[in-house]
Amino acid sequence: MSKIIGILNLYDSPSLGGLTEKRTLASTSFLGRFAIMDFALSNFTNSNIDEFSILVKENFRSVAKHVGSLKSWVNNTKIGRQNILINEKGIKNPKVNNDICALAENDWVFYEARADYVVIQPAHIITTINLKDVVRKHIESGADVTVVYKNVEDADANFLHSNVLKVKDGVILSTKKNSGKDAKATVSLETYVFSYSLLHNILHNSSLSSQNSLKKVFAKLLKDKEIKVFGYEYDGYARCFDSLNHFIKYSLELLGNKDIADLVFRPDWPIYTLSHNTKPALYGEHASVKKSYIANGAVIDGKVENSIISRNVHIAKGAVVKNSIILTSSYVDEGAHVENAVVDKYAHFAPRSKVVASKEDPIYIEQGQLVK
Amino acid sequence: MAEKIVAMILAGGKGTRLEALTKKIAKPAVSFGAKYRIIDFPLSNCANSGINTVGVLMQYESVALDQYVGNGEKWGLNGVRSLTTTLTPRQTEEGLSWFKGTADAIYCNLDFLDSVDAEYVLILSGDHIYCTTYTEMLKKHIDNKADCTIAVYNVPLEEAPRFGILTANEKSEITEFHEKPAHPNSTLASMGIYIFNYRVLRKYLIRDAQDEKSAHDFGKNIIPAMLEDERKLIAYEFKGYWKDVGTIKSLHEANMDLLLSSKDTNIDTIMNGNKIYGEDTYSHPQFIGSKAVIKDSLVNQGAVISGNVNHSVISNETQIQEGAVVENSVVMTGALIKKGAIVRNAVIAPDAVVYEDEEVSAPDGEVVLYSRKVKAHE
Repeated sequence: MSKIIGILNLYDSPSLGGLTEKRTLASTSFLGRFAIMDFALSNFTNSNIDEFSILVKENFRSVAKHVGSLKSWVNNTKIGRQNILINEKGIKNPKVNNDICALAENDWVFYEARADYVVIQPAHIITTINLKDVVRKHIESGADVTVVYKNVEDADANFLHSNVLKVKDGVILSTKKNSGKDAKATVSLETYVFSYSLLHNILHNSSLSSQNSLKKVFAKLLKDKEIKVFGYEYDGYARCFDSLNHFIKYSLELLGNKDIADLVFRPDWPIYTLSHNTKPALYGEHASVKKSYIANGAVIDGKVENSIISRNVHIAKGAVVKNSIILTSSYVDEGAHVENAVVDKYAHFAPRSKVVASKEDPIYIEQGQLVK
Repeated sequence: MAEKIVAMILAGGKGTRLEALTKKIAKPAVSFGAKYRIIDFPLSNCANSGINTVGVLMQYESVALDQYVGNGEKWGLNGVRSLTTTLTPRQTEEGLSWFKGTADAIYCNLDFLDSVDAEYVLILSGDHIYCTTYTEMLKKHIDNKADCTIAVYNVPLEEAPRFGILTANEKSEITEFHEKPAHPNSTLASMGIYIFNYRVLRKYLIRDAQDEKSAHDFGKNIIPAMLEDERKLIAYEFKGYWKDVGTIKSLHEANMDLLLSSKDTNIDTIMNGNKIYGEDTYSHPQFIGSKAVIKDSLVNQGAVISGNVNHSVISNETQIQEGAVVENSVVMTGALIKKGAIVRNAVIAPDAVVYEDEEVSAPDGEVVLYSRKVKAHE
């Protein structure tokens, strides 16, 4: 049996505005109880890949706090290894703080694992993909690199941070940045399977490793045409979290559309996350809740509509929350009104305070902010 | 805790009065409070007390309970200095012997208590709902140089005949103990929670095991024998929420005690600053649909609520479909309440299905248990 290891690549994560100022996109809260990276990590778990590493660029603290010893995503807690990898050289010299250098810097992982194949996933594209299938196809096809793609019809508004691919008979011909001009496109989900021998050569070949990102190395490999790069078509749920507005859109779309929600939450594909042993959610006698995800620990006595309420959030009597995402431990006091807002953790809306933004231009409320 | 205290949780009972709920699982594994199982309470109390060595005694339908307890990881009782172990009846050189009573269950596991070098043994029941730490009780036991300390609860006089009732003097020394007295002369009820000096307990258990007439029960035999020998028995009064959920009615009532509208209690006052640990399922967050009405309820992750829910406790992976009404009820894990169904004053068993427009209800003041499941081929 061939040995597969996983890399969750947090380089190349787009900004989600204020949300990612002090934390990584990967550890940003999603749907009230997950971190965005739980989905990629659960893809490893559900694909039985117990040996994986998280390649962290910055804000290590927020990653370490969420993943702990990483055992929450592991099938067998003895077999396999899980690591958080940082690029120590990159801290001193920003020029080499890129994913290719970070992988080269941490090449011990590959030596220790004696891996045959390396699966690399990004954190900012959420999928529920069976990586074992991708690897199987990679082996069968004799490819050196396999990249996962999806044919979409909305690339003019979504996947704006992604590359689009030209594919012919399963062979990848070229890649370029999504210009956003065409709705129909083949977008790269930036999930790759590398045969380890090739990855080893890349990391130790200066003409390739001097490219300052994996994306660019991939483009150069395609241009040089010296290796076989095949595609794997995926047609499940895929969203590219590349802006605060998209974060809101992709969160709230799950409330109104059961078909999409069923693609994200498949009975055969659990999403594993850190457990906080929080008590169930409590609804008071004055609660009125419609079309919302509510996490455990929430206490709701006000009105909540089309919103996502995270762990330990309080919505007091007479308060109104609409079209908003409220992160952990925030408090919306009596009679306060919050509309079209993303509220970071520990914020407090004073009684009868009002923050009403438009749907087109939602407002971000900082962590710990007191809104009077 | 520096003292070596070992908790032994008696979780072997069938809980016959819980009817279909305990047909295939032991009472301590019955679900409670939307997210928990009854045994989460004593186990979390142990964890919160810094008690690291726990034996869980099982007999009736032990497989599901053993699977749930596992190595104690759900309560953090699997650390480097922790040990959680399942103790079931076993075959020995003398043959197979079932636990003949609460005291016999401990007697059969003296070798376990010897092996962990117990100094004090805390005997707990696996079917009580209460949140506390045992730290103060142990301190009182040590300070008084007691042989045994019994946790007591002040009950109304009319309920006293259901309990073991004891009398204590101003120094908390127990002077009398009567199991289920017809005419109680005190309202101090034993909670079935004891701390023993292990060396003393060991002697009494061995002596009791040789007595063929004994019921091998702590309340009926061990405590009276120690009193007769003028051993030092101390009462420790427990204040706070404590409930024995022995019947469908009391199980329902204890669930309702968690709600914000209940008169004297709610989940926060009951937990009293302690966390209850247990199984955190990998579910999506609970989803409240666009036509749902939800008030005065406690709901766990994984529930999908599209109907009308009032004054109820709803577990994970449940579905309450559009137009269904759930009132003053407990809906356990995986249950499905279909469109237009009415559920009132009921306990819906795990994985039960209430069909479209079906009504499951009891008159106010009564509670009905409903447990019909979908057939495997459906």
